[in-house]
Amino acid sequence: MAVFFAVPIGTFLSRSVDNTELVGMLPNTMDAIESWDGAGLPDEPVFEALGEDFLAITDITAAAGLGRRLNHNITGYRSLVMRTFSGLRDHAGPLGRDELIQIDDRWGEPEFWRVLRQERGTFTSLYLLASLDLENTADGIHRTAPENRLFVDLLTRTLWISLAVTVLCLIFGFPLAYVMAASGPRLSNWILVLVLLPFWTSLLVRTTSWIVLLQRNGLINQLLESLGLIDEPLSLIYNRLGVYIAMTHVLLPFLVLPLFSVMKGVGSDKTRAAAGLGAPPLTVFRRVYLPQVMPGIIAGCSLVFVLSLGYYITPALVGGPRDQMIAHFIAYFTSESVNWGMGASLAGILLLTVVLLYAVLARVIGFDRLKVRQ
Amino acid sequence: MQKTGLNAVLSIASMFALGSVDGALAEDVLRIVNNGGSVAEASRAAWYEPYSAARGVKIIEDSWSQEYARLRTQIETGDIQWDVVEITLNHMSLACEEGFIERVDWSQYLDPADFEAAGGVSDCAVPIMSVVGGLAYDADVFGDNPPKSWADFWDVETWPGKRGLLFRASTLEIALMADGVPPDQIIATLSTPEGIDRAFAKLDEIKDHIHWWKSGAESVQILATGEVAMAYVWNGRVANLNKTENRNFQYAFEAGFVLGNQFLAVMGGTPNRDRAIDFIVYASSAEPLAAFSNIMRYGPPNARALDFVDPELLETLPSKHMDKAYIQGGDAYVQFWIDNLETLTQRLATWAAQ
Repeated sequence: MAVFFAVPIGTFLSRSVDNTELVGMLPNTMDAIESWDGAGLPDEPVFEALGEDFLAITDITAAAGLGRRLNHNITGYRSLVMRTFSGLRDHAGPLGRDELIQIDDRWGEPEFWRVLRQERGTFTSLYLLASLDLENTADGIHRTAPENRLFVDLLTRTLWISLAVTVLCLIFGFPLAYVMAASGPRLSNWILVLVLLPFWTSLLVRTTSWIVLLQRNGLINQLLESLGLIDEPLSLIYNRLGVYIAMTHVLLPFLVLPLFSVMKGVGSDKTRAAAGLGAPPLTVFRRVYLPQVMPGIIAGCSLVFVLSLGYYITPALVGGPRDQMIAHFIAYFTSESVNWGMGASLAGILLLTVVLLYAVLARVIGFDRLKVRQ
Repeated sequence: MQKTGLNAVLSIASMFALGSVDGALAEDVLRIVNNGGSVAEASRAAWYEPYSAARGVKIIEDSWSQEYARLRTQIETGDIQWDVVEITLNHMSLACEEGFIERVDWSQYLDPADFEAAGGVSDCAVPIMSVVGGLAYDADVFGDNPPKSWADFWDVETWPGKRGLLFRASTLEIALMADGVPPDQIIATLSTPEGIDRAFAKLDEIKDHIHWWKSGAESVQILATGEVAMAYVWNGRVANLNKTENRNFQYAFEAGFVLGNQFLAVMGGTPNRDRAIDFIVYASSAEPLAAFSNIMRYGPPNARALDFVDPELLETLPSKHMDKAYIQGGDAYVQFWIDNLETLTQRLATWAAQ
């Protein structure tokens, strides 16, 4: 458990604050820049230390790694590093401020130096701050420019969509599970097969069939138009509605199955007794039946909620750009742009949010009720 | 670069996945990774099978969606699973710089002049197909008055309906084209904050009319079902759609189009370097390239291949319309996107969500 679960996840998450790669490549600079107060340009020894570090980089792969890392702080730092590296290839003689600025005049701009000063420690707050739409600049930590604020919105959107899908699954899943539990074995088996059937088809196939049904000239719009109910096709897909429909469908079995198994175990004796003692049906349901199936509801809802948080293929296929969820960007940073710091940081924040939510939930309804009891 | 726990786990996992291949790896096997889908089918018919038959080499295929992390983890763990890599321009340039693909002196094996018109060979890779991104519309709908320019694409009064655009930062180039920026000025314009604002302002004009597509399959699906009236799409997809669904989509080459090359490169650190070079030289030579273009409507980057292309198909290939092409490439282009891709991707997502 510790080896196969905790270690890989822990190692990956630690990348969100790990800064050893950068410090390891620029040891002299990081030492020298300590004495600079961050105003104007640093003194000559800092330039010389950077020059020394650059001359120690022997292969272009290492330079590219350094550039990639610094580009996360300021867009364009990568090309500055690469140009400096190639400019120093046949360098001889003194190497200080004049020489570096001559290779690329951006070494004369304080912001590039401030990044080095800010990132001189073994840990970096860059990724965690960026995941919260914050940045650390010369005048302290503040919010990023409005056109780049994405991740807070993305996280709240992810939580909201997951919550909505959970509620929708409960609304549709509860009666279904009840009918299954209340009916005879034949009918209940048939419903079970119908619930499980989409479960066995691939996610892509299920999602694509929703596209066929819901699109502009899809079956539902054609039907409504031929019945004369609408004049213009409705926008049923490529928006939030499409995401809710498709995700609820995909995740419904995860609520129905645990709920069904709990309902199955609840006998009718207590509800009959309550009714016999004169309780009206609604009271019987609310005070006698519901508490007994609550573990199933909680298990099913938690399952659906947690699974929803990680969805990104379905929102990508049936949603619009306003419906993308955080997993999309975790995948983007992890596998496409290879910014593992950012990917780890977003994943860590999502994980933390879920843990916090569960802690609150456990406090409110008690820990033992989060477990399914037999 | 230190080996971390994650990498160790990944390498153990990949050992299991490729255990059998590792054992069989010898001179007579070549492992190629491609972009999958219909391109892979065409590659099989035009390149893999003939090469395999001619040289007696067994080809093992894999596919990827240009997830750069898959290149990086192989290099970092030393567990090389590919010999030849099909790769896009930006990734190719980055991988070449970072040493994830091999540097090769191609002039020893082929004539670089043949590839000049399509953007040229690089220090690491040879262009293998020129993919066109351009304006497509349904001629059955707009037959009398077809859209002819990107300005028309932006004119939702005259040509009502939604517009399909690729949900990637490179679409900012299209926005600037539509705003009248000449192709050779696009990257220079985007390199300034005002230029980026200008591109977003252009997108603002039709924001509510844009359907953002994310995969090639989606791009033609929204055209075929009438979800959009016109779209920016890759030309090979449209040609396939007309063929398989018997539709009448037209490709407005005259509006100006984007030409982006896919490359073949030798995987960094592969024990099969010579065989990989031999394959790339074979695939990029005139007749195999023409065979590929005859199946898949992407342009052959080798000018000599045009002599072998089916004359009837020439009109549907970009090669006849190169005066309207905006070729993605060159050092400034590559450097700009490597520096800015992440920032602009994030900004586009933020903009689109508002």
